[in-house]
Amino acid sequence: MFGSGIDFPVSKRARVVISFLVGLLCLIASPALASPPAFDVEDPGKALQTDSGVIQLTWKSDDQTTTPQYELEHTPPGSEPFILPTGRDATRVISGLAEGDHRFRVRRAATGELPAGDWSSPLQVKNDFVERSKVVRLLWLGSIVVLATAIAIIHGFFSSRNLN
Amino acid sequence: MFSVSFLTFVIYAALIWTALAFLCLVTLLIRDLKNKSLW
Amino acid sequence: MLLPENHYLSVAALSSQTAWAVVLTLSIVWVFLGFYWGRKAKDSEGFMLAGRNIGLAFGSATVMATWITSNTIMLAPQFAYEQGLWGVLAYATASFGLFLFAPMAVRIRKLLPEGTTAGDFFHLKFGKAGWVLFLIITLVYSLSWLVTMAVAGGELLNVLTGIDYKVGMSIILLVCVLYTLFGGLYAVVGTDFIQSLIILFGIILIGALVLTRIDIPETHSLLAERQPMLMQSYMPVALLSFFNIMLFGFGEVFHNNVWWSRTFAMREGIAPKAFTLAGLCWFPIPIAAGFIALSAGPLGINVTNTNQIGPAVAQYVLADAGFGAISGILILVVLFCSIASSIDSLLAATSDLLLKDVPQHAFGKKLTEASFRKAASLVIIGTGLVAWALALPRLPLYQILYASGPLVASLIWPVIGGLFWKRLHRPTVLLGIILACATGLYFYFAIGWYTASLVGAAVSMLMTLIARIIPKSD
Repeated sequence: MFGSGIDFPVSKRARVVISFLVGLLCLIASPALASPPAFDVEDPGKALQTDSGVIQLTWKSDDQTTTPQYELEHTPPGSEPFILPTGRDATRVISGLAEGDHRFRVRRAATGELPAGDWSSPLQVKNDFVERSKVVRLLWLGSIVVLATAIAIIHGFFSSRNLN
Repeated sequence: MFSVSFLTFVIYAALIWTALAFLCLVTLLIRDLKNKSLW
Repeated sequence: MLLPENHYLSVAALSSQTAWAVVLTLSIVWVFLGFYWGRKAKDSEGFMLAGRNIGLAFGSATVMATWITSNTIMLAPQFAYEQGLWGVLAYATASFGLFLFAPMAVRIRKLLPEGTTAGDFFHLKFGKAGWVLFLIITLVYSLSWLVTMAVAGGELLNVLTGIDYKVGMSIILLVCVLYTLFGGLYAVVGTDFIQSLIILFGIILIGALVLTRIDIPETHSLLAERQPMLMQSYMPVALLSFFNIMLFGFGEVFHNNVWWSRTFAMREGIAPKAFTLAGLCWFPIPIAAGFIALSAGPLGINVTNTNQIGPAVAQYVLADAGFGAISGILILVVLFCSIASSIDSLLAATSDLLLKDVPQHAFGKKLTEASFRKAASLVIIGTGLVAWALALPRLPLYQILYASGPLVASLIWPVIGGLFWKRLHRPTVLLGIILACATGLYFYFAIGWYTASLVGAAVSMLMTLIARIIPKSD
């Protein structure tokens, strides 16, 4: 391994130490021990809020693998988690979220050569829609205005048919 | 929740309706061309 | 069916040569047609109103094509992905404005048999002050729509073809300016017909291919499990804006010269049929174009940007079906047509207002036939230049477009009242328009966009109804 054409008198103990150090270096450099991805948020401990059921999640990784692929784990409120592969993308737009607290984790996905990485710290996302009473109020107001508009036009059309 | 049947109905109805719109415009074009009433 | 491997959501660019070939071919075809059809315009009426003789085929198609903007093709899938089935159903109700305009078109033709623009109506019914209010609102709305279409065109060309944004945007605007300049409304209407057929064909093809790749029950099951709100009958986000979108649509159609000029341009008796038919043809488009985005999850597509979800899913499905490079070309052509069909209408209608209304209603003068064509050229080029200058820095004018919702909605009831009611207290109506704009804008910024047009329309409705009761003063 150190072949340079020059012979150094190396003791047996030294060879053991050197081999151990080289092995340790290889272990540290192994991608399997790179730190897991982390969600790109200002305050990782704080839940993200949404009122539309839509959220874009982005994460960063110091994975040295050439082309890491990721998978996102989504645990909806009161449900079992499921996996969403995101491929090489380090972002995903999640939509259609039910109301309540959702939990997300991300990790490097398993490929042919490497096993899956460790999961990231979980990210909480709280989805709180606008209160129903507000929706109902707007629906009522909208119905009245639209109906009145349609009636005015139809009534006006029939009344004015003989007018100039 | 909207049912599978409703989702299926909406999707197929929209596509068939769009196809009918296409045919309608083509038919009208032919009719107006024949009557020389395009513009 | 769920494919085993993950698919990246990206709109792959066409090769540079193919992209330029497609863009240049389309550009040459439209400009040539503009020049060819423009020969029919012998005078100002021919140029602005295509001789007031447009038939049902062209009439329906031009109304439908103009209402299909790139928003329809791009936003409908975005609505589907973010708001689910209710999102696209709500979007489809924007066709109701076309239906309701049909009976109004009958009255418009009766009231203004020699009318040319919507400004003629506002001046007739609400005097100079009313006309000025109308002009401010319509120019803000029309210009912001025009610029957002130009920006969308540049961005789409950049994403689909790699052509630099500024170059792509300039090409689209230049092409539309040229064929509108050469051909006036003849060119606009004629190209709209071809564009509408291309758009419809593209939507049907892509939609049908998506259907061959998904199993609807499985798609529904996956959505119900993983994106449940998209299938919910109570979807607050979509329902909040349901009537707001509808009223925004009413306001856009009822006031804008794009639709009034078409009403004046159609042969006697054609306009109500054309608007009804156009509404019927337009109604399924947001659903047919939008539903493909619902299949993104079940197809294993990772959505990174909802702005481009429509073309991205379309391209994935087309490529998967073996269409290869043609998929990119088809999407490019459909989007180019949807953008061009709106830009040309806006250019023509806005320049008509400036050409006809401003000299006549502001200065009491009319352009002579001899000076008309030159003036028309200057105005169309000028409008195009202004739009280009605003589109160049990619100003976020879509925010102004959305904020113009309450402005246009404030004109709904004044138009209805002016058309159908003999007695209207004019100052009250005008005050109502101003109050509606102010209130609507306040709600837009303070409460949310989903209230603005609704509030604007409601305030204007109230004031117009009051104006009907107050004894006439003019």
